Amino acid sequence: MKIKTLFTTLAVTAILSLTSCTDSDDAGKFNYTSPSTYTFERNSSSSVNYSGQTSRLLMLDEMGNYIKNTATNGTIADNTVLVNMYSNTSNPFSTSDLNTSGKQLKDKTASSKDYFTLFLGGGTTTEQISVRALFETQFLNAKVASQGSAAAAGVAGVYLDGTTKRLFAANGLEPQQVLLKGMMGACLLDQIVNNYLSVNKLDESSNKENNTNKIVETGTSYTTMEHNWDEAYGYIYGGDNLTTTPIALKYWSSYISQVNADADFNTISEDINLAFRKGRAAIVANDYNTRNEQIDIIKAKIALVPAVRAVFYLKEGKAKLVTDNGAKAFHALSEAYGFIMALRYTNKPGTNSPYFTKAEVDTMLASLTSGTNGLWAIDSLSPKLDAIALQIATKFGFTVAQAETVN
Amino acid sequence: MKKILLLTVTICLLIACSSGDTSNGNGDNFDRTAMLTNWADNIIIPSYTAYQAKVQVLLTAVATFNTAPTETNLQVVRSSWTEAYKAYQKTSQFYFGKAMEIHYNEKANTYPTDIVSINSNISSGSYDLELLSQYSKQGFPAIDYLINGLGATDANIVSFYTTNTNAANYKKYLTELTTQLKSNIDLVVTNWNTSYRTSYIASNGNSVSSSVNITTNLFVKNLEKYIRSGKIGIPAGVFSSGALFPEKVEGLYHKTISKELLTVALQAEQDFFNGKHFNSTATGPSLQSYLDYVKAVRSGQNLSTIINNQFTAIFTANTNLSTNLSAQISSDNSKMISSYDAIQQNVVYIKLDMMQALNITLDYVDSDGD
Repeated sequence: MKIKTLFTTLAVTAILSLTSCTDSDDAGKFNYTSPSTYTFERNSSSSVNYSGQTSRLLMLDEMGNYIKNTATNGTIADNTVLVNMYSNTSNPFSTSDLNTSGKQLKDKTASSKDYFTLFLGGGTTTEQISVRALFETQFLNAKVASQGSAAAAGVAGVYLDGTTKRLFAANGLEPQQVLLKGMMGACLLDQIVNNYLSVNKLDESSNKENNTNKIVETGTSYTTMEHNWDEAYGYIYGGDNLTTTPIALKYWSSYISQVNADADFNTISEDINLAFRKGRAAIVANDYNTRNEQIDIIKAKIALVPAVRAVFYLKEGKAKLVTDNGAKAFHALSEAYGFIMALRYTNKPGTNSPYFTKAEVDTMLASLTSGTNGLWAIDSLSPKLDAIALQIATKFGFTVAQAETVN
Repeated sequence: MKKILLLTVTICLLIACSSGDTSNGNGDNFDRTAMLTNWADNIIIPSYTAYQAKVQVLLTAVATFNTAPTETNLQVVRSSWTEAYKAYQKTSQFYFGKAMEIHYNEKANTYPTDIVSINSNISSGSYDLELLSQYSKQGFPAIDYLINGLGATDANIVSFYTTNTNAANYKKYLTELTTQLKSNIDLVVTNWNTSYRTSYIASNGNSVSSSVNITTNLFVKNLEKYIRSGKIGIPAGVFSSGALFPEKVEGLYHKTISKELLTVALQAEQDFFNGKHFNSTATGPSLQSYLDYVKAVRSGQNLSTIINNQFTAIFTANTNLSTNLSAQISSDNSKMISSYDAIQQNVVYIKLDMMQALNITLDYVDSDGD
């Protein structure tokens, strides 16, 4: 009994002493609200800036369209053009704004602070180089396919998918989709969750002190920490055009919206958007605990998007394997391939590691193309699609059925 | 029982709330004065002094060569230059005090060297090596060009100092570059041996301007910027989206010295970390013992052990490198990247974990902004 009293006293003391010295209890300490749109001002001018992210999304768009147009027009997809677009060399883009932006996609591919500087989540420079090379291989694959005639097992070429012409590599993968979805992971997502939403990045150097004292970056109206947060936001929403009808959403914003269209995941749009607004407001208010809570929400929710879409496309592809010797399925399967690549760049809250390791992702990818002539080995491919879909759904705690049908 | 409770409560509160009363202002009682004394007397000053002696040998060799420009004497200059260059590597991390004031590192080792301007300096005979714009025209890289890069053979090189119409200017430039190295290290050594040692050791606190903080920051920066980036990352294309620059390695014209310089520099880093006395197996108070003193661990293992193990991993990775790093980049750059990754891993352990464990503020940042 006495011993019990001692322990109780000790426990209470420990709690009391913690409380007396910690900042973790913020109730009543902060008084601010999150705006209903991502609008933040300082001295009557916007303190939000993500133009660099918008530029990169537009660059990726041009790259995707370049490949698509060569397929449509039956012209050659010049890999040199794509290589130049990737690194923004020799004025490759249609607008001088992009050409002179000083931005490029390549140096931000697999280059987040957490994974590729601090080497968390298994990252290395060796991996960075190999993933950049993988994208450049897609450019070459697109070129070879654009020079071929009809795509067939082991033969790169063009496939007429309904009224759309698509370029397929010899293994059936569509270089354009591997590029677009793969870059959504290796560049955009990596920058979002492993760089700009990394506390190592947000709090580096004197960022926290400067933000607390509202010392803005020279010539701007934002603190470095605010700007970092905006840059994460910009990689998701920076390509959107809300003034058109219907509104035009790009990349992650678009796929968040597509996942949200499924009743099983119909809060994800608001969850992510709210977390961005809350986190940004928290930064303005120096409420770092709330900021960190929003980081965890965004990291978990955004990771769901490639997972759900990968499962969706795997199942869509599986259903189409019976058509055109499987070719009808390859567009969807290439999207799935790219989204699986993206899983390697997710960041599970509290771990600073991806939900699936690089090795696990590589195994899934290798499995997809392991048959003779890759995706064309449709008989052996079908059960693999089911297995990978189940593996992904299980990891993220939803069912294949939930992701498979958008209802 | 009540007394025990009271005591326990008091201890709990103390542990929870204490910011630490300490002799060194850093929340611990580690004897920083002893560490600074070890650094100054057993590592820094001996490293500088040894380098000074090697530069004197080089200066003498250059004088001999200029008097009698033969292939044999050129080879003596070359070997003296090699020894001095290696000795320099052991000093570059101590870039504070007088060394920083006189831009010791920039003057001694800016590479790639600017051979176009070197040639124009030689032909005009008119230049001021003290100017900022002249740092890329002097130091070991410029001498490298003068004694290794002027011609394909030693006979070709010697001809610049004998039959070339500008032979006198070549000799003069070689002498002045060497003299410049000598006068710079003389300034540094004299400063340490007169007033600086005392003030260096006396600055034993934990402010950003204290000796421990400054020295440790430069130890980190030397590993990250001058070794990792300068010797490997930049030429191996890490900062240029894969565009390779084999011509940007250290010791380019000598060809087979680049890996050796890398090895010496890395060993100097590890030795400093462990407080190892110059040219001796003895050790004294160091970052390693400081880490152990504050019981710094990572994943259940002593951080100091992790850091030393990673140095071992670096040296292992480097065994795959050619003695000629320029050739290595051209033939198989992936091995350079593996070495880069091994060093970067230790940058993480040191720059993040060690600095945090020792509560030392990092005083430089990367400008990787968007």
